[in-house]
Amino acid sequence: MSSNKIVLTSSDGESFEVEEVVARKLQIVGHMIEDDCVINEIPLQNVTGDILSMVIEYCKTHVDEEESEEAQTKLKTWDKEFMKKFDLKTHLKIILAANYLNVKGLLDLVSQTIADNIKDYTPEKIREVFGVENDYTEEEEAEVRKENAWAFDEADTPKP
Amino acid sequence: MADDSSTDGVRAPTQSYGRQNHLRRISRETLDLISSLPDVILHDILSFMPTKFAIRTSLLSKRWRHIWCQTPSLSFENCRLESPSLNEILTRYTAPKMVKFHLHTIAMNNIPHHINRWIKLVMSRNVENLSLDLFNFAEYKFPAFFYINSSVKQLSLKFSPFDMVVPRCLVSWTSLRKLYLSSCSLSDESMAQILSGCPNLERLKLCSCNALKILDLSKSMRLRTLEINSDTRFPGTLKIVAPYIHCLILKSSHHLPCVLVDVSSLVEARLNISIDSLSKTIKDDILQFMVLKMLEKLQNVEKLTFGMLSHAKLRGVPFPRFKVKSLTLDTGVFNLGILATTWICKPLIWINVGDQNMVSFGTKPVHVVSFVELTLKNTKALDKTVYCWNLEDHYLRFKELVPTLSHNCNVSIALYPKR
Repeated sequence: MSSNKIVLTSSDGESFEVEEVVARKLQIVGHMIEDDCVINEIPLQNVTGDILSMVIEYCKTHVDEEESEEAQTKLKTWDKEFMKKFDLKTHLKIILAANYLNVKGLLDLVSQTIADNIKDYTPEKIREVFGVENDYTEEEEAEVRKENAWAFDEADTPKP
Repeated sequence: MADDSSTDGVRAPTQSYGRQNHLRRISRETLDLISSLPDVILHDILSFMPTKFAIRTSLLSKRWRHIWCQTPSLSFENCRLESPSLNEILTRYTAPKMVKFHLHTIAMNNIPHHINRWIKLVMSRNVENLSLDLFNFAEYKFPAFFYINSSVKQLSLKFSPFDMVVPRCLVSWTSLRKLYLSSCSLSDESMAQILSGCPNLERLKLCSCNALKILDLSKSMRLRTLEINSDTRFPGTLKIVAPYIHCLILKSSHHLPCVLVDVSSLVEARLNISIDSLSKTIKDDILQFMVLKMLEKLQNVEKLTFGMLSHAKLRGVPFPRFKVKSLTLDTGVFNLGILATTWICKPLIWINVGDQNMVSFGTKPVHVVSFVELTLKNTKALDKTVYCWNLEDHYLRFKELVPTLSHNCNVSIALYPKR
């Protein structure tokens, strides 16, 4: 193995050999490299192989963050397509992994994707889509509505 | 968090939501994965939506009730600041550190009092990215504390009667890297005062700040990118002294927006200028002189992008020689005298064929081909590669014409249809 390759191992024992520049996009690994505590293989306890492979795919694509407008537009398009490949459940797993591995760009991308999913839904619809159980009593629910009345008052925000 | 054991039996079905039905449709595996995410991730997610929607998630379940209160970014659109219910909500916002705050107001009453309160709040949380769109408030003046700040890295002000207050107080925005001013009635003196308080400024964007006569950036040593966007018909011409900038972006739909006095460090320039209407008030020879003066200052840039610098009156005008490494041409230029110039190009030439302007200028594929041909003839480089991208409806027709083109000019041509 050449010196600039690093092996990342997932919680379920899957191994990925990647270039050091790609591995560094995972800040958790980047910090290890800087602190000189990198052996050739890095075990990543909190992420499974299927999700880790997605994170690596993202990092490989974003390895050189070019400033130019064309490069940025191209990356944005790729990001969108990348997100479309996965369902909600996978988005949630990726976001956990991105948080643990500290990949800021991916964290933002998945956050944005989930936010876009949520924002047009009513609370009832969000509960349905994400399986959130409503544990408020009806009185409590009324109280929450009341204390946040501004956010539920459509008349307060005229459309532009 | 969701307690699985209580899902079906405990709660009586309510007529309005039919919760039990919904729950049955959800597989055990996906059950409320989102609520089990750590707070910090939920804050991130809520940061990416308008705050109104973020607050609505408090109704989902007890887990969510106070999550939004710690979201590091708030964004308010079309907001009536005088709303008592909004001001009540604000008292429950507890994030210790803010990343971003955006406010677009439409209200009419008690504005200074309310806006000041918000600015005070977000500044007390060390906000990094502050964006204020104060539409319709000519009477408002920023309070003195607004001008002294060390946390804001990016500031965007729109529709602000900026000038009424600045000259009277000191400006100290020591962390500011990016400043965007739009529709601000800013005088030369105020601009100078602002710039003197921003020693770390890297990017400056001015949109429709038409009162400015001179923009002296000779003391902004870290400034790298300057963008001027002008859309009014009768502005004064702005003189630009910017010896440190590397990138200049000019957009204007009606006139030459500025005179370049010093742009000696420039590496990249993007020009998107239509000068058609200007020709009605300025004589052709003066117009040509102004255009040439501007282009002369750009002769040494490495990367040049031309948008619609279009005017028939410029046809045949001998443009200066350019030494660019990468040249990008949008379709608006296909009608004009820019053909007469000599490009000393490295291989890369990008041509945006599918630009909307193509239609409005009546450009046909055959025009584009003859344009490309001429450009190549005037390009002194051995290996020429032309990338034509964004090929829309004209794609097929253009493709037919390409073989003749590449045969005549001995170049390789790559075509990219629109995505």
